[in-house]
Order: sequence, then C-alpha cells, then structure tokens
Amino acid sequence: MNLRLATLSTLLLMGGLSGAAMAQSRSTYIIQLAAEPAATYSGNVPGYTATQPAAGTRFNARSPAALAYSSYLDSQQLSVAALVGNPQIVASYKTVYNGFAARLTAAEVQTLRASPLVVAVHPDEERKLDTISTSTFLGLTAPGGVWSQTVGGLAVKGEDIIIGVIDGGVWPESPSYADRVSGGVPVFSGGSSAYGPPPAGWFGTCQAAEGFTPALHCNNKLIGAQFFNAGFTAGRPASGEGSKHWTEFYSPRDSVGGATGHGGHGSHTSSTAGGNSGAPVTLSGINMGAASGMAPRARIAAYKVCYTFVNSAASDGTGSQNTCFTSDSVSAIDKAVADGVHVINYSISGSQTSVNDPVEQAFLRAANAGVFVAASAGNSGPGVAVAHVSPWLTTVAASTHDRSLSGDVTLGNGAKYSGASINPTPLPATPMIRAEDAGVAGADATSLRLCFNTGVLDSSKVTGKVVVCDRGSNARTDKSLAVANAGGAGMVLADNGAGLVADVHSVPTVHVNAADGAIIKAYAATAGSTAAISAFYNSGKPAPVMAGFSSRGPNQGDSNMLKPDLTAPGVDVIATVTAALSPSQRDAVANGTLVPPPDWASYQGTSMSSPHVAGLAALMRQAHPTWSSAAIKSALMTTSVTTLNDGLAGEQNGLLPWSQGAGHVVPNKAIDPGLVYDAGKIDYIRYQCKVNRPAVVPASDCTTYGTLDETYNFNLPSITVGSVSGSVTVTRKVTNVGASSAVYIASASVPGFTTVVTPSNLSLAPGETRSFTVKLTAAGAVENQWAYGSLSWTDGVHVVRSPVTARTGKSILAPAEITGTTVSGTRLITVKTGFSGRMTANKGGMKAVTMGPTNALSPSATSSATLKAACVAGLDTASIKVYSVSIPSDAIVARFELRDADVGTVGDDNDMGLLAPDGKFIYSGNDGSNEAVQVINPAAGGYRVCVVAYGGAASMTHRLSSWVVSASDASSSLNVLLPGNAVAGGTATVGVAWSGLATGGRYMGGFQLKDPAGLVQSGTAVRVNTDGTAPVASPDNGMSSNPRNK
Amino acid sequence: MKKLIRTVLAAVALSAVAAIPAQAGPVIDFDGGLDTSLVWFPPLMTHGDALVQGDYYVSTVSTKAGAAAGDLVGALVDGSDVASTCMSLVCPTNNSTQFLAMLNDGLPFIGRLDGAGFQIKSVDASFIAAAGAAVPPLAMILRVYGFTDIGGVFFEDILLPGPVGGVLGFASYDFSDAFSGRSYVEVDFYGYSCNAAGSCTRSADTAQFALDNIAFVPEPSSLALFGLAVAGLALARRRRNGNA
Repeated sequence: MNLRLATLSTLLLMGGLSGAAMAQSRSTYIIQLAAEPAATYSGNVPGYTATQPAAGTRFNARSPAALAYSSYLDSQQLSVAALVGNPQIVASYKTVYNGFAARLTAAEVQTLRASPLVVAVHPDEERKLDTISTSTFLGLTAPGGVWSQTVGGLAVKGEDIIIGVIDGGVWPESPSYADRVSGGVPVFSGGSSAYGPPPAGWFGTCQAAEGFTPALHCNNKLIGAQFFNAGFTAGRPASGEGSKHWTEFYSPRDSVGGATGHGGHGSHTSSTAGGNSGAPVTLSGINMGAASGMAPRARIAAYKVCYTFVNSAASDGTGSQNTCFTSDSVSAIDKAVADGVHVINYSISGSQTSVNDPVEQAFLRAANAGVFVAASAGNSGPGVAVAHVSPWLTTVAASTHDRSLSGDVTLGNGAKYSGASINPTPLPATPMIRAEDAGVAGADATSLRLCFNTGVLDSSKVTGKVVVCDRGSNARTDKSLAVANAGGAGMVLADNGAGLVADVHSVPTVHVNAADGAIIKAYAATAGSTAAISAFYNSGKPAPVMAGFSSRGPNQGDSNMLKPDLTAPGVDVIATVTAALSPSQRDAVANGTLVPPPDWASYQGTSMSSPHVAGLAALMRQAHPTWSSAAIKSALMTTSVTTLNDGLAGEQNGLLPWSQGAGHVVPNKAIDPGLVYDAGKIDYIRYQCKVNRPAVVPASDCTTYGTLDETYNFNLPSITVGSVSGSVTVTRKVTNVGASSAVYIASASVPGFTTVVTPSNLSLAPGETRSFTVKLTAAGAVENQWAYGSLSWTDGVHVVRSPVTARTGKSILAPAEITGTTVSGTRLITVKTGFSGRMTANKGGMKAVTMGPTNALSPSATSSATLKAACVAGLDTASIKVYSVSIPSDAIVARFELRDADVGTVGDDNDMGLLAPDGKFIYSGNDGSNEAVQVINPAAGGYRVCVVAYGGAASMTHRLSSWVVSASDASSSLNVLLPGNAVAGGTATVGVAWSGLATGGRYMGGFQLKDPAGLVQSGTAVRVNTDGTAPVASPDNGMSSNPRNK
Repeated sequence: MKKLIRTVLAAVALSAVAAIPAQAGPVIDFDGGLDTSLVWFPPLMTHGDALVQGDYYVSTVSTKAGAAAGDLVGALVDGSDVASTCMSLVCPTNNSTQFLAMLNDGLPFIGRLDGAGFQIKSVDASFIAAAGAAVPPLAMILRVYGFTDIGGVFFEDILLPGPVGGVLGFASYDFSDAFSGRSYVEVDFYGYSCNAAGSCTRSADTAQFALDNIAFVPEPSSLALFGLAVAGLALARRRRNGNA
C-alpha cells in the first residue's frame, strides 16, 4: 500500500515537470548501501576482519581493520555512484550508516534503486526544510505533533499568545516579523493579511526612535517594540571610550551585525521563540529553506535592554562591547508584564547564588502575574555556574540537535578530514600554508597563529592559498576575513577544544577538531602541500548531546533545588539576525532613508535554547490557557527525555541532572502530561520567607502564609536533597490535569537509598490535587556523594517523571554559612545529629581580610576548562595570575574573593578558580569581577587560586581578597556554644555570637562541630561585612550567549 | 555549681536596693535595666547563668545528666531582629522587644534577690521550633512550678500551640487565682515538647520556648524581710531539683 502511494506521488510529481526539467532538476538524496557500516561490521566480507567493538569497549575508527573496511565501503560507494555517472557527492557515511548523499535527478534515483547494492534511497528532507530544523527535531511538525493539534478550532502554534523578548532589540525587516503572507511566505506588502489586530489584553506600545517608525516597523505580528536604556546611558560619555558605539541604535532596533557589531542576538532569540513559519533563509548567499519559530503564530513584543559601547580593549578585537544593565532589564520586565505578555524570554545572564537579584525578584512578580519566564542557564560550562536559580522561572540548559552542517578538507596526500562548514562553493586542490608561516616581518606570533585581522598575514605568502588558522581570542569569522583581506583562497580552522561551529566565512572554510588540525598543520608545513575544500552537506548526527558550554549545577544558591530545570536546542541554531552595515548605511537606516535587508546566522548558547522553551510555553499557554507557569514548567520537565552521553567526566557529565535538568523537552508529550506539580504565589512567598526573608513584601506575608520548612519541600517537579542525615521525608503534591479520573502508581529508586513513596498510588479526579511523601533512607550511599535516581507516576497512559537527587551528609548537619553585617551579632542555628552524646567544636576567627597586591593582566576570554588547565600548569600567563596558598591542617574555612571595587577599570570582567590538592577545581565565572570561591573544612596542602582577566581594559588590575581561618585563629570575637547533649536523629540548637569587630571591615570566622569521637562532622563559615556591603554574591550584567562566536 | 551561683546572687541581693511599687506589679521584661553581668557569653545563656532585673533574678540551667558550664540553654533575643538571630530556628515573630529564648531543654527559674516570697500573675510565652520540625497543634506543655517557703509545691500547666501557617507568636497567659494567690520563693518553668501522638518530653533538645513579661502581683514590702529567712530552704530544694 505504501509503495503504491509513493509510486503514485512520484508519478504526479513527474507529471508536472517537462522532460527537460526532469533531466536537470537535481536534489540531494541519501543512498543507503547493503553492507554493514564499520561500527557494526561483524567480519563477513572476505579479506576484512570484524570492526565492531567488543562488549564494553568503544569503536575505534582509526584501527587498521576499521580503516581497511572503511576504504572497502568507499570503493563500494564509488562503484554505486558510477552507475549514474559519478554525480556530486555531498557526504559519505561509513561508521553508523553505510551510504552517501549525492545530487541526483529523479531518473538517476530510479537507476540506483534498481541496483542490488542499494538498500534504499531517501530524499534529503532535512536540508530543504529544516534549515532551522529545531521545530522538526522537537517533533512539533510531526503528524499528531503539537502544531497539528487544535484548540477552539485554531492550530496550537501560539495563536493570540504574546511573547515578550527582553534582549537586544529587533530587526523589523526580517520576514520572521511580517504580518502578511503570500504563497506561504511571510511578506510585508502584497499577499493577504495573516494576523488580526493584537490580542485582547495587549497594552504595549511601539516606540518611535532612531531607525524605528511604528507605522512602518510594527504590525500585527510584531505588536510591540520598546527600548529601555536609562541604566545604560546613565553617566555614559557622549563620545570616545565607553560611549555608544556607531552600530547601536537608541531605539527598539537591534544593533548592526557583521564583523564589527554585536547586533543580532535579540532578533535571533525572538524569531526562535515566535518568528513566522515559512520565512526564507539565506545564509552566505545559500538558500537554506524556510525558518520557523517554535510558536510561529504567536505575536512578538520586543523589549530592548542591551546596548553596544566603545571599548577599544575589547577582548574580541571588535573595539566594542555589548552589555545589559539590570536596571533596564527590570524596567523592561515591569513593562512587559504590564503590557500583557503571556511569556517572557530572558537570554541574559543572572545571579548564580541568589534569588534576591532585582531581575529575579522582578520575575517573581511576573510569575505571580501568570507570566511564564524562560531564562538561560549560562555559558560558563562545563563549570558549576548555573544562573537564574529562582524556582519561579524555568532555567534552560543547551544541547545539540541533529543537523550537522559539515564540509571536508582533502589534502594533497589524499587524507580527508571532516569538520563543521556551511561553505557553499567547493574549492579545488589549492596550495596551503600555516598561518605561522605566513606572517609579515615582525608579526606577533600569537596574533599570527590566530589570524588576527590586523595586517599580520603577508599577502605575498597568502594570496591564492588555503591558510590554517587556530581558534581562539578573536571571532572565528574575523579570521577568515583576515585571510580574505590578505588574498587567501580558503581557511582550515583548527579547533581549541571548544567544539566545532559552522559559520559563514569570508573564504571557503572547514572548522576541524584540534587533533585533525594538528595533522593538517604538520602536512601544511611540507613543501607542495595542497588542500581542497568541499561544499557543505548535512551529515546528521546523534542528538541531543549536552553542549560543553552549558553551565552546570548543582545550584549554588540552594543545594535542595535543582537547576537547570531542563534542556533544549542551543547549538548551531539558525535564526534571523541583523545585517552588517557600514557606518553610512547605518545612519541611513537611522534616519529612515535606507531599508536594510534581513539576515540570518547560526548562533549557539543557552541564549538560543531559552527561546525554544519560551516558544513551547506559548504553545502550552494556548492549549491550556488556565495553567500556571509552574504547571507549564512541570509539564515540560516531567515529560522530558534524557540526552545522549557527552562523555564528560564526573559531575560535569551531560547525563546528570546538573547538566540537563529533568532532561530534553518533548513538547508533544508535554501538552498532555497527566499530572503537574503546581506552585503559585503562596508557595513563592513561603520559599522566600525561608531563604530571602528580608525581601518579602509585605513582611507580614511570612506570618499570613508561613515559612517553608525545608527548601526541598518546594513543590518542584524535581527532588533534590543536599544533605540526608539518616533519612529525610520530602513532600510533594500533584494535580490531575487530564480529562478523566485516573489512578497513578508510583515507582521510585535512588541508588544507595531506600525510597518509599506514600501513598504509593493516587486516585485523582480531573483537577484534583493530592499530596504524597518520598522518604529517602540512606542504605549504602557513599557519604557526601550525590546519588541520581528518579520518581515516576504512571496511569498506564502518562509517565510523570522527576529526577531525584540526594546526598548523604555527615552525622552533624549544620548550615554551611552564617552571614551578618553588624559589629556584633547572634545566630541560633538548628543542627541535626546522627548520634547521641556530647558534641564538641573547633572555632576560629573573627579574622579580617588579607588583601593581595595589585596585579595587572591582559584580557583574554578564557573558558573554565582552559583556566583549570592553566591552573594545573601553575604558571602565570599574560592573562592569568596564579596565587599559591598553603592551607594548614587545622583549617576550618578558606575563602578567596575578587571585587568590582578592587579592579582598575569599571566593567572589567575577571573570573577565578581554586585548584585543590586533589585536583578538584572550583570555578567562579560571573560577568563583572564580583567572584568568590570558598572551601569549608579544606584538606591541608597546597592550593592555587587562579585569576583570569576575561575581558575589559587593555591592562586589567585586580587585588585578591583572602581568608584562611584555622583553629589556631580562635579568639573571643567569635563564640560558639553547644547543647549539653544530642540525640540520634534529633535536632538541637547551637548558639553563635560574634562581637568586638570594627566597622568598615570584612571578617571571616568559622567553626567545626565534632561527634563524640572527636571527628569533624560539619563546618560553618561565619562571614561578617561591616563595611556596608552585604556578604552575598552580586548580581551580574551581560548576555549569557556568545554572539561573537569566539 | 548552683550553690555558687546562689551565693553570688545573695551578694548581689545585698547591694540591690529597689522599691517595689505599691500598685503596679513588677515585671521581668528583659529590656531596660537588665543586668547581664552574671552571664558568661551574653546574649547566649549557658548552664548556671543568671539575669537580674529589679528585685528579681532569672537563672538558666540544664537539667541534663552531666550538665556542665558552657552548655547552651538559652539566649536573649532582640525581637526586632528575630529573622537574623533565629537563623534556622522558628521563633515567635510578634514581639519586637527583647525576650528570653530557652533552648535545648533548658530550665529557667525565677526568684527574688532577697529570697522573699512573691506571687506570679501572668507570663507571655511561645513555643520555639527547630527548623524543619513537624510540630503538632499542641506543641508544648509548659509546667510552671511554684515552691512555697515552707516546702509546698504547686503547679499549673500552660499549653503552647504549634505554628499557625509556619509562624509562632507570643500569647499572654494569666495564672489561675488559686495559683497566683499563693506566695512562692521560686518559680520554675519546665517545658515538655509534644509529638503528634500527644506524648511530651524534655529529653530530646526540643523543649524550647520563649518567655517575656513575667508579671507579679504587687505585695506589701514587709513580706520582703520575712522572705530573707527562707532563702536557705530554697537553696536546699534547688539541689534536689537539679537532677530532675
């Protein structure tokens, strides 16, 4: 039956074409051959031994057997291709798929299908439609997928839902924002109207300003466009260093893109969330098919808060830097909620430790107003640096999707290497040269190796050649521009470990991994070396895999709350951006005399994953208008699936909830989750009364609604308990959002724990809410190590899954930190004990800060992994200062800080890390320079504190603040008084009092509680700032994506 | 140990000259005029410490076997800063003045510096809960013992409720006419924290409560002279009670 239909459709298609068209119309097809690919080849071809890996081992593509078999497959593929006269091959697959992709006519396809060597021929649908294939990858376009469902007769594509995007503005010329349609393509004029007036309840505006005219630029798709720059402009010079950059507009318009600008980010995120479907995409002149946002029928309201200013020392070499002020963000959130948006996307970084950040607090109100907020987890991975730790928003990590735009570089010696590429024009075998060998006299070796676009490449050596450049420091596209400016013909970009990215380059380029890059460079240094670069093709790849840059948990603000919440596509996401313009063109746009073109680009970052979730939330909001933000978040989390193994070691591994949260979103399941873990205003108040009481307004709310007993009892669709002493009972409640009564049965397990769910089954009428408990009892769990399990409720139709993460604690549980701001103070703390008897204590402090000398560094954007490597090496570099610290055996707490107050230039971004003797690395990578690392009960030995000048002034200075508090520092300025005895499994009160401190200081003390055997079982830091600053981490500014694509 | 404290108190008593107002009854409110010179680590209260206000003292002790100097049994808490001080403890929030928090099954007992008898009228009290504890509606029985100068022992129970909406608050409790009508040389406050089954105990460090505004019935000053004579009786009784 299927075969008959396929044949029929082929006939219909052919019937519509002339014979000539048939002969010339070529499309890409994937031809699958009969033989096993190498990864599963069992040795049945005479003369070729098996290449499949033995159980428990990994496939080795470089083994002699695998190479031999691969060359056999190559010859088979070539002989098949010869059947149709050796067409253009776009891809060859040999590892997990045996076949190739080629440009074929329909007649050639029929010829191949007749060959016994061919198993199947598939049209390459990816390449045509899915350019921006994430909607397909997420299943939205599948039969029965969310987009095919209807509510009230309207397809669930975000109809009448307003998405507010707080970002860098909007490029209104992109068809993503058009409100008319012609032939399925969004247009600004002609065709027919595609949208009615703005939905009821919309109170926003479209602001007239530089290059932005409401009558021209807003419409019934882009219904709002506003900008907030009071924070940015405050105290900003009118010209010179620090002033508004020429690429910028003080208007809702996204700033100019290209090699010098930083624009595009705001347009990218808003079009990903809610851009029109059918928007034609052109990348580097290549027609890439059609783009679509996740909620293509949603209306978009842009709120611009990020701006570019002149910074001649910017580490990316552009001479400018983009920033987003918290004050402007809060204004925008405020306005967006007032305007009546349903969903907010916030692809801007945030606090990693506090829910008391102004932006977080603004989002609390937004959530209370029924607005769903998606926020980016941050791009500081794989370090522990997840941002936006508030329970009232959905924090999104980033992972890959299955499109892989690839290209090949074939060397004169016959070796071929594949990498990321969207190069449209094949480059035949061309002489090649290493950048190191292509410099002008006296060129700086580093600038040369990295192919800086500063005239370091000598055109007499480069002209007509393929240049091999290293990744790092300057924008990737800046390197190919440098090659083009020197007359080069192509570029091989050798990676630095950060991962391959397909960019639009100025010359044909393939981005290869570091290992291949080293081989290619070695070859390029030989006489007569040549390289050919293929046109790009979509090789496809297993997905999703967590992105290395996606910031990991655990949540540094609350170890009883999982962050990030979930993951979504954030690697190689193609969406609309701003055009590259000259200054005069920019001015013409600003005064309305030039209509600029739309543009498209591939970005990566959690900035890109967050709007995917914002768009999906818009679909959910349309489908379930009465659901709370928490219910939508719950549905997205409990129906998610795990990502694939990214191979990272330890707690950075992508399979762990620290990386992927509950998992990767599956919208087609989220739309019908069965149960939700709901939460609302009262839950948020009770949480804040527990962790952030001073911020509760009015304070009487804590009396009216009470205080959450333990933060692990916040009703999240994830369960995280940071310290289980013996056992812990976690409470949750679920609501049946299904249409009918159902009986759900629980199953739960966590390795090393007995896990008991009570009751173990729940009978729920539609809309009914029932509570249950999960009791975790340690049963062999390794102390102080996280264990990862799950809880699932199922009624036979739905599976409502939550990650359950728990860690056993020591036999005394005490708060990790006590803070204060007064010269004397008292704290009464509840400690839990796993023994009966008398406990004892060590104490040290209070101790004033030790300030290090002023040290100067040169900025260099450096990942946490690179910083760690440098710290392990232990040598100062131009951008990294290594401090050696000796920790004594009776140490109680050690803390190291950098402060914005101690840097040479306002806005300098220093980061830091602490390397322990056991090799563990603690990273602090906020925007700005407010950084801190702290270790309680540190093991004795040599530590290294490594400070990196990430970005800022040409010469960045800092001073390291340090405290090492040991028992030998005990004094009467800190007293710790203990109960007379303790009861196993019980609690008791410990009194802590400090006194006699001077004003204007930053003090630190600490204490350890010991069991009756005298063993240290807990450690608590006591931090008191009497200088008027609050001893908490500061909020951050700056985008968390990396639109410069360094 | 307690004998030593009492000796010290007696010395204080000799130097303390205070007139008892004839009409308004005296009140221990832990605010103005509170003498903490007999507290080792103020505002934390340890086993054997004593507070003095006006003619009265409040001594805090541990009744645990092996109780030792330095054991934490309470704290003076600034009611206007409860959120900071009671960092991971649920303290009453409706009192902005300083109050006495008794912790870890600690026992407060009160008396006059001159050893004279007195009549107790009322007290403000609240339960104090450990962070994360599940507290039933009846959180504590606060059993108040009065010891008369001739060895009589009387008690009255105050039932302290658990948190309402996660929050605890002081309430004022008037003693019965029968209880407040007697003159005592010492009054002790024994807290027994209760579980959901109604079983109440003071051995798990969970008997924790707050006291404030301990009010006394005005009495003729002539009784004060008589009271001095019975101070020795009280001392003898305290030693017995110390092992309760």
